[in-house]
Amino acid sequence: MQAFLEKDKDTICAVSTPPGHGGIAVLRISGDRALSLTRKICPDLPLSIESHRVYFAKIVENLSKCCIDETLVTYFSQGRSYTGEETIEISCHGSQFITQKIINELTLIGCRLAEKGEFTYRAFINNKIDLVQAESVLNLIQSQSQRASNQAIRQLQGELSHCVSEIEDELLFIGAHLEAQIDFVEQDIEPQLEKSLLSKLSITESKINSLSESFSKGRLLKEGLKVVLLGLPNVGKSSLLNALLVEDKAIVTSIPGTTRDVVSGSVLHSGIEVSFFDTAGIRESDNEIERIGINKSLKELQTADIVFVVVDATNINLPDINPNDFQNKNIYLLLNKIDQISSLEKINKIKTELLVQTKLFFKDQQQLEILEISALTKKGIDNINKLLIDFISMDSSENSIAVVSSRQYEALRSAADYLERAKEQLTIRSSPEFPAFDVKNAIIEIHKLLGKEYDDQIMDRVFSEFCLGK
Amino acid sequence: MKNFNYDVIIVGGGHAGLEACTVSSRLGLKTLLITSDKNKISYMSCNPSIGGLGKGHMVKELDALGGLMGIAADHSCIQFKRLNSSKGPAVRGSRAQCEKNIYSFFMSQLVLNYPNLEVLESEVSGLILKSNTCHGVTLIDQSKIFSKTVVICTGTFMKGVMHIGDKRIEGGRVGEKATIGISDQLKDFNFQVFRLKTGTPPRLKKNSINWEKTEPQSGDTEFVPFSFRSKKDLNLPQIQCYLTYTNENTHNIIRENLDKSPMYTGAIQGIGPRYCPSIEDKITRFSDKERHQTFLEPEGLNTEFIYLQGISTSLPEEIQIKFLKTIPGLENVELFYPGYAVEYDFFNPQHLKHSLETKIISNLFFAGQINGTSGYEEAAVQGFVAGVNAANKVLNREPFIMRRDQSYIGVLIDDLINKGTKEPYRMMTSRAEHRLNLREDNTLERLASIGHQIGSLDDKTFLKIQDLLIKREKLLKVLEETKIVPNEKNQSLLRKMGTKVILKPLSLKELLRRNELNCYDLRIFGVPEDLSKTITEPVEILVKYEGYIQRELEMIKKSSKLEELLIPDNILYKKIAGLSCEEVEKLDRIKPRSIGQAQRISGVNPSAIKALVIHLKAHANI
Repeated sequence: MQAFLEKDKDTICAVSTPPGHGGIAVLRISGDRALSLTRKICPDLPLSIESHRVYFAKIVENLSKCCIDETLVTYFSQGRSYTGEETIEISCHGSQFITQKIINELTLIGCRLAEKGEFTYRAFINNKIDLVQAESVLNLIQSQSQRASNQAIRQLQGELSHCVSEIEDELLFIGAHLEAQIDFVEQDIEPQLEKSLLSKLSITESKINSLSESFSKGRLLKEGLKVVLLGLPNVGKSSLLNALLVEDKAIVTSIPGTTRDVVSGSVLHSGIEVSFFDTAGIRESDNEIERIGINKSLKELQTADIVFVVVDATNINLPDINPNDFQNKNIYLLLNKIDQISSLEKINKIKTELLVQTKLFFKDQQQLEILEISALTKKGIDNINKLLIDFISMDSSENSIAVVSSRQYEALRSAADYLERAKEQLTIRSSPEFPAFDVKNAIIEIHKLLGKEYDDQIMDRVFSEFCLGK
Repeated sequence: MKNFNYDVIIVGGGHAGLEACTVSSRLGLKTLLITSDKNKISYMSCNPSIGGLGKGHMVKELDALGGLMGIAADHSCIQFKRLNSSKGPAVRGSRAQCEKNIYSFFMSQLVLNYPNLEVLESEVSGLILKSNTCHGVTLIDQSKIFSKTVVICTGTFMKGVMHIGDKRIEGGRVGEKATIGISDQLKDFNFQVFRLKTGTPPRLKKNSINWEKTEPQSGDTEFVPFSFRSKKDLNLPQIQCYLTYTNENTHNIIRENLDKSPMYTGAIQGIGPRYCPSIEDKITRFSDKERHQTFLEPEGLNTEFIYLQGISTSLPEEIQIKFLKTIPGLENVELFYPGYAVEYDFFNPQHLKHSLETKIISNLFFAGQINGTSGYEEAAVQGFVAGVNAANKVLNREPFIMRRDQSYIGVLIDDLINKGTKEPYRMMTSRAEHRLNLREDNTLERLASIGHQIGSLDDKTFLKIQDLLIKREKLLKVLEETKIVPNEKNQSLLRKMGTKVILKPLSLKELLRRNELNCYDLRIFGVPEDLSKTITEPVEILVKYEGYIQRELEMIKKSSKLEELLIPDNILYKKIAGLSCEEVEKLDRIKPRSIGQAQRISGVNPSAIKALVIHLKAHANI
């Protein structure tokens, strides 16, 4: 098979059907090792297998051999598949939990998660489709990667981001102390040596391990997507909420009152629970009970994935908000009551004015996207729902949300592998360039989580840590 | 313009200019070197030493390619050290302290008697340019010299300004004038010109130092020459250096006078190297450090000049004397000349191709500090590459380009042209991602045949090198093919050697992996006794570190494939679907020659690489 880039040789996997609770879901595995890897979790497959034939087979966990699901497995031999590579398709039951579980097993035994459009890319490389078809997926690939780094940062909010940055920092420290022993040997400096670096490395490694355990469970699946509605009274938040909840014919849960009193309702989109939080209470208040409510609202804001700022098109005023609460959030402006504005010209004028106003609030944000809606006539509600679904699926490979966390999991696991090797080297007191080799590679993996590129940060650290110079 | 006076003109007779003009002459081209002072060819303006970590590697690489720096360093060596000798083989670096005048004299004699090479003492005021092509140079007397290609290696002399306290003197080196012309002329062609700064310590009078109060430091007892072509023995007697330290009093004086340092008054705008900070910087940034070490290094055998390593400064002369006198051994110190800082122009190296030809003006090449590097070795290797390519261009040959996995030279040039530089760029082993394979001991294997192929390394030397490499291969074969079995005789031999007995038959190669054994130990099992260290050492390294070396070789195999996927010059990035505006702008500016290089440009996403691959494949380029 053709392989231009190194990763073109990997065997890749992904869920190929759209996310959500369908009756069945299809997983696709493509690459040289597609069959041999699948056999590890699918012992029922006969030894001599025919192309284009469907086999009834159980999928099991590789280690425990516990059954995950009963599935139909189709084998496509090399040259006779969509990608042109050896391909396996698994039709399993359409639950997010099952597809995620199988994908996790596949990545554990050596598959890599496919990037968006990668199957099509391979089909092109192997002369299975023509350029016109291939170019149509390029835009898809591109939109994926531009979001990727913002995304990596956005997903790493709060404690998690803190923890990953801490890991990065510790690894840079270790890397710097190893490098200082190499390139600056005659300098009057005292870098830390094997024993101390080894104990530091062990601490960092255990942090990575505990983090990767928490990741593998899948954050969105577990916690759902949080959407905060923000706006002055009477801009139409309540009717918007109703429209969002009613419009979608999926399950609606209304949890009023005491414990999560800012929650106004939630729906299922693509199998993910989307909760809306109405934060009408955010304003200055003397009332103590109200203040408690406000603090709660602010807290919700901090953990939100998306913030909708609702504005009345007939009277554009922004709610009283503190831009600091919004750093690194995905913010959208919803221009409500658009049905009451008569001409396109006027709408454009209002939008321009609104952008000027928001600029004052969000100085460091890029230009915000404005969605024109009418909660009353339901105009534009479709667009909001589409946006939510896009958001859920945008970073997932082929389409499934579960693998978002798997990608990060992969990076963490690979970092941990490198550190394991580095520890071995330090234990046998190898020359510092050997553990340094592995520590640097571990940092590159951690940078994938942070959406950073490796650009000699270890050396920067050497220079800030030590007084060097001829 | 049919009457060319020369094939290649080299402007500047420093370390870059020397390698450039000699290699161009070796390739058979009529070459002219223009220098402002024939007596200062390859002059060591700063630290009188060659080599070090990453740098020693480059000197050896240059030698395997046929360059001259290694020979001159061996010839003038007055103290030799192999740094990191107790560490792994990849990070051992050779360094020679040199007799500065002998070094320069040796090179001058060489150049003045080199076949195909003429030397002209003059100054260049401008380039002869016609429709973005360089046709030669104009001298300060307005006379013109025409040539097919031109290599500029003017070091720190372009708009060089020296600072000592509030004194500003135009010039690139103490006692010499600056050159102005070229940088203004090239600015008009949209070359980006930036400013850098570097510093040098004061030179002390030998007889004013109280040596009793310093600690003598000797070099290694074993000398391993840089050059394959040098004699195995030292040419000159060896000297000692002397170690002493600054103290709180020193620091207080410097601290009180910081307002007189041009670094702190804002008089200097250029960015200095982080790895070579001034003493002002050191005590400001690391204020809790109680003392800083400094080495007193004689600049030669019969010289009175002492170089004060570690104390580069641009404070006023009287302050320099005042703080120096607080250092043990320097109580009565006198100076030949004070330390100073130099600010100079350099061109953004992102304007260059891998061949070091500029992308803006064809037939014009840049090498050395003009590209933002620091160090004699960095300059020399660039001079070599530019010299070969200036000659190749005349000869209508393909450009000579070194890859990152082949040599530190490749790393240096690839870093410069892809990333540019913010501070004077110095080589360090950490810059090479394939560090474990770019070792001093395998330089000949890596590069000698390339040097021979381009016409720089002569036949006679190349045959000798091949002979050596064959001997190494033979030894490796003996080690692989000789097996020993666990019988009584062998076990007792092993015990006697102080190593564990064997449990199953082992090849000598497997046995040699044990830390405590070397080739010489294995002579009782049939390894020839009379092998020299130049044969055994590289083989031992290959055997002992095979695991790591293999791991890295696999990574190299992966990456070198991408280097072979070439991107045509006439590619229109903005027409390629799937590239962002930012990516188009970056690709247009850097003009990567391969997918591998494109991948290293920061801000070019993996998806863009895919888009490029699709585009190239669709247009049948791959």
